Amino acid sequence: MKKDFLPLGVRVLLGQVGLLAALVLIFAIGFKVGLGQVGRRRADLALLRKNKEILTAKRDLLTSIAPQVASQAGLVTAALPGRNPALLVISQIKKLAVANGVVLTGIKVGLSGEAKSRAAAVGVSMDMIGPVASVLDLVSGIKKIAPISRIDKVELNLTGMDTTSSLEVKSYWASFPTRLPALTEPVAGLTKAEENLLETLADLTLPALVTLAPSGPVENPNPFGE
Amino acid sequence: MKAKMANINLLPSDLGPKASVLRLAALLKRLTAAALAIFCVFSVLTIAYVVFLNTQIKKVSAEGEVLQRSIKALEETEQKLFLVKDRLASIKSLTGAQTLEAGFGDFERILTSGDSGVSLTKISASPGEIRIWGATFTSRPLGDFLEEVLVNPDYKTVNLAMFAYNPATGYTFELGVSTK
Repeated sequence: MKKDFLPLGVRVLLGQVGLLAALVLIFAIGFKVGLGQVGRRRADLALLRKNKEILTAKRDLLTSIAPQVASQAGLVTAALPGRNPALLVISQIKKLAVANGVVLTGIKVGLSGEAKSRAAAVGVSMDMIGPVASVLDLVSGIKKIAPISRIDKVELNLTGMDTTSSLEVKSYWASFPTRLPALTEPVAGLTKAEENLLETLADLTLPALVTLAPSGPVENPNPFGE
Repeated sequence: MKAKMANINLLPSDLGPKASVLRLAALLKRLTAAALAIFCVFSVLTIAYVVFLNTQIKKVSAEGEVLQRSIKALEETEQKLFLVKDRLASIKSLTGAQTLEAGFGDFERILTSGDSGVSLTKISASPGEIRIWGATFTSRPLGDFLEEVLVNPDYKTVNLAMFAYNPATGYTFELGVSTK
């Protein structure tokens, strides 16, 4: 008769223990896989919800500011253009000179190099002839023109009826941004300080830019006449 | 009524497993059944939760896409807002640049000070500094003029750079005034 290697009691228990151990192993693997799947999906959902919140806030902000942002963009671009504003500055100063009865001569433009800021600067210098009060009014008016201009140097020669003066003005510009933030990046509205700055800029005298409409062909009934 | 059958074991008791082993085996059997039940319940709950999460992910993704389309339609507004903020930041950096405006308002005051008998011949102003050239025949108006300049709280330092007297032309002077 073949004799069993293990006693009957151990064999009976071994089957049950093996079954339980296999179940525990499957349970452990299932637990790990199940929780992993749940965790991954929960993280995805949290990220999507966060993005949705950002997008909702962004859409609401953009919808609310849409009516006024166009005029604000026009104002700040006039105050700090994206290109060298020398011609605009000369035009603005000439208008001031006409308004104050001052004659401008010897207008010169020279690059002032990079200013110690985010903006670049251009220098405009000129000589002025006119009554002292008019010259002073003109010089005072420069700080109210757009593009933003600052007086670098002014010299008044007070001999004679009319003052012969020289003026050096620095005007600024900065390249336009070339990259927009990502779509899912949050966007903030204007801060109180920025709104105050905008209000200050609103007092500037903007350059009068005229857009000439293209004219269509005109019929000439008598091309050989006078 | 069903009669309960007696559990008859005709084998000799020393051939079968011991009673304690049988009890332990029964306990293990019950534990296995309980573990299997828990595993089944856990699996069902987990699968149900994963399905629920998948549904939510699809729903939120769809809402996000709708929002992205709305924002795309407002792209021009976003560009303008970005431009406004960029320009304002640049303009703000300029406000720190040294300018003449602060001291320039005093030009008129200096010129009217000259009405007291001092003839101002030249005024030059640059950020932080004003230079004044003038002449007078007598010393009294010059004293009054200097006094007016000295009491001005905006002038941090006043430097008499040149002072000369000529019997034919009177007194001539040059003042350097620092406003910072």
